[in-house]
Amino acid sequence: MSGALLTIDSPGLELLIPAGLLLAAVLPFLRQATRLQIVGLVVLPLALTAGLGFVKYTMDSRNDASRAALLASTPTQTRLRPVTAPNNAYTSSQTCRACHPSEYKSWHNSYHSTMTQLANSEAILAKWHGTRLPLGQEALQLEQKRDEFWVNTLGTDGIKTDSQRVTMTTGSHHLQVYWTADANGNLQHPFPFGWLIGDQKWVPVQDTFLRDPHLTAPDAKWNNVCIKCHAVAGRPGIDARTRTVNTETAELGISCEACHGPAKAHIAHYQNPVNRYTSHLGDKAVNAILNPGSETLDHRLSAQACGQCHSYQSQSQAQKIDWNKNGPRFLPGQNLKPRVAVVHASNFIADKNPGTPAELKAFVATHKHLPLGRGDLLDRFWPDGMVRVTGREYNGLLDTPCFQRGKMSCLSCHSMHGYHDKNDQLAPRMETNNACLQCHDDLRENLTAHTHHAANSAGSHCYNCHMPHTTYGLLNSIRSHQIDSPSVETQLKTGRPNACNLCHLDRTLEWTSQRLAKWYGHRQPPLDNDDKTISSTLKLLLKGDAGQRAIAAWHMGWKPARNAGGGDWQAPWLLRAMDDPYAAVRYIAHKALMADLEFADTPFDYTASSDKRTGQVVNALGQWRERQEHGQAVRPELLLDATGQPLDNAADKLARQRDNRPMTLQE
Amino acid sequence: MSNQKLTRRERSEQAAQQARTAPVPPASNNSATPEERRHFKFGWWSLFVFVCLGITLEMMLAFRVGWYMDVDNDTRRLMLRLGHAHGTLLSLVNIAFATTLTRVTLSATNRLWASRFLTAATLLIPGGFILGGLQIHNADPGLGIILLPAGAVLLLFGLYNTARHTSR
Repeated sequence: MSGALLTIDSPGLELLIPAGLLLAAVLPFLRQATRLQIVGLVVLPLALTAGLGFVKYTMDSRNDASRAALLASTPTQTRLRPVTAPNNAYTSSQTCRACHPSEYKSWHNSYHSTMTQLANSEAILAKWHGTRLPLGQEALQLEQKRDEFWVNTLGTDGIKTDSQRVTMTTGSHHLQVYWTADANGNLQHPFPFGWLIGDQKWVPVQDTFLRDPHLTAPDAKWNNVCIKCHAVAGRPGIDARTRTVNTETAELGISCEACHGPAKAHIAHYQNPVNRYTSHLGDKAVNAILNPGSETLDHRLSAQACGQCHSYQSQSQAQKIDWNKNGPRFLPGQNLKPRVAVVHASNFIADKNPGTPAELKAFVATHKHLPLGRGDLLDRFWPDGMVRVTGREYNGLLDTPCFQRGKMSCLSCHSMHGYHDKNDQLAPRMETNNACLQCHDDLRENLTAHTHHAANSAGSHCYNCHMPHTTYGLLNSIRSHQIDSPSVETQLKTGRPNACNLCHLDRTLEWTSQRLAKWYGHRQPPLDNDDKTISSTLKLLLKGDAGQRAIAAWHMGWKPARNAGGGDWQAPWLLRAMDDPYAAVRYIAHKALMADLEFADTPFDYTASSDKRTGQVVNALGQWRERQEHGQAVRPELLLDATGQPLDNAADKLARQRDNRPMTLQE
Repeated sequence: MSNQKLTRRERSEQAAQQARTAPVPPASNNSATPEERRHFKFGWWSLFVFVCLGITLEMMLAFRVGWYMDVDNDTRRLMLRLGHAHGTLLSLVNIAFATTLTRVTLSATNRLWASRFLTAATLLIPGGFILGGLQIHNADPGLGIILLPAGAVLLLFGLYNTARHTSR
């Protein structure tokens, strides 16, 4: 039917038809009117109309040309057919809204919808026009021309040497990064600076990840990295032979069909009002689209719709070639495992670490990826197989008993359309113990007997003990999505801090061991002297690996932990962490320091040169020393002397034992 | 057969049949001015056209036609709905104007001008919305929308001209 409706495509016709209508309307006036009347009532409206028309035509033409140029240099958004369901096709979220306005609205309001956007004034959150960013010997001058955002490269002499238009943005929650197009195809190159939304600050993109500082800045292209999860059904279309790129997606951003699957068949059926009302009256099975939130859907399939992106995956060379050409093979509602190699680390943790090439080959053939101690996996999983970077929540869910033996899925707690807070998209009341009490209702009346903490305290909040913040991502610590229980033995084996000491920051590991033995009958493992005498979290901050240091620093600013473990002793240790070689640790330590009201306004640029940073830290340390003049109680477990000054010798001794292995925890 | 005498009942039925099919002359048909006749005719026909447009829009809504319903076509949907609403209302205004002319004495010049203003406005205002909706530029209507201010000015003149004389 829409084909029968003509649009006035030609710019000439667009002007001629209104002119003809106007002439027909005013013609009768010309016959009997006096000259003055003609001038007043006909010529003036005509002149006004012509003037407005000219201005509008000029503006529309300019805007149309600008948008056409942007679309030409970004991945093509088209009605792709999935390779595994060629009779169906993607249609885009704008079509879904016609029948599902409420769901469209809740999705449109979520951060999923704005994960990838075309660069325009609505999408770009950064302070753009007039910003000048240093880049080696050169500088980048940012410029906004109406709805276009440009990056001008200035040489050492300040003369413009290059100018590129920003084409796309990624992210709109914590961080926003930007892309510029390649001259050859629609390949998207990363802009080297990102915008920290909360801080309203430009920083180098490499300093927004927890990365080995000796590594060079990554040069990841949107088309073969981000596209996988930041667009619907992306096909990279990179031709290495001709060095051209023709990337296609069904839609930019994470939209309806990413979770519900391609909708063409569903829409074709339900465009007919008779079919719609037949469905409303009961027959819902015909051409129904997948609903991951449906109570009739197996909880594993429901979780896999989220897990297609929220998991750590491995891809063989053959799979990469296939994906590059055909796009993803998984569709929501299908079994994920045969189509995507999710790294289920705990499954192979007990396997013999392959030593010979033959053993390695056999391992890869079985598990579809490298063993845990190799490559990226070494950093991104704790030694027992628990994932330690955020955005991979499905990996955590896989090893959660509630998922394995119960019916828990992502949507047991989260809701994509009925969330009460867009930050975590938790369903109403799921930020409380109700999340767990849905199934563990027997604990509702016996909560304090189970937790040994006051009922309304942070210690009786299920999440804090069973989902502590032990994963890292986005310059934050994030709750682990593998539900487990605090264990000193596990910490000793894996290095993953236990939930008790992440709240009781001032306590030793021995203290925790004794409590867990008394309350829950845990075995008390042998501990070294440091574990008996020094705060477990402080020890982690001083001698842990970069990921552990980030987690320890973050908890020193966490309000429940400052309430439980005191909030008046962390400053010297956080100031020390602000000199960490890893930018992410420095950033987190500074944020934690600002939780102390006396240091809330401490200036610190975590991306500045070492000299400048040291100056800022020394100033703040002086502030701390002044505060301690009145004396404090002796706190040997916190490595503070009788005057409240840090015991630097003891701290240096621990710091010398620091795990300095290069780490990359990139979400 | 034709000479056959009709019964009383047949004559009665024949008379009733003639009464049903014969046109009923309007009470003041002879006294209707050309403006009154033109506005009745123009009003009812334009009402017919804009009701047809309304039905078309409803059909596009029922069948979820993307050209009308998609998010990117919000502006088109708004323009076409405004065109339908304004067109329907102005059609009724034309009929009301024709009725007004039968009851209010206006000078020939005023009748002529008011008539032309209203007619032009009825073409330009909904026409501007509809043409502005046929071709859109992202969130902006097409060039046809420029007819709107001209139509609005003419409508104001027409209404003022009529209102001024009805209050005398």
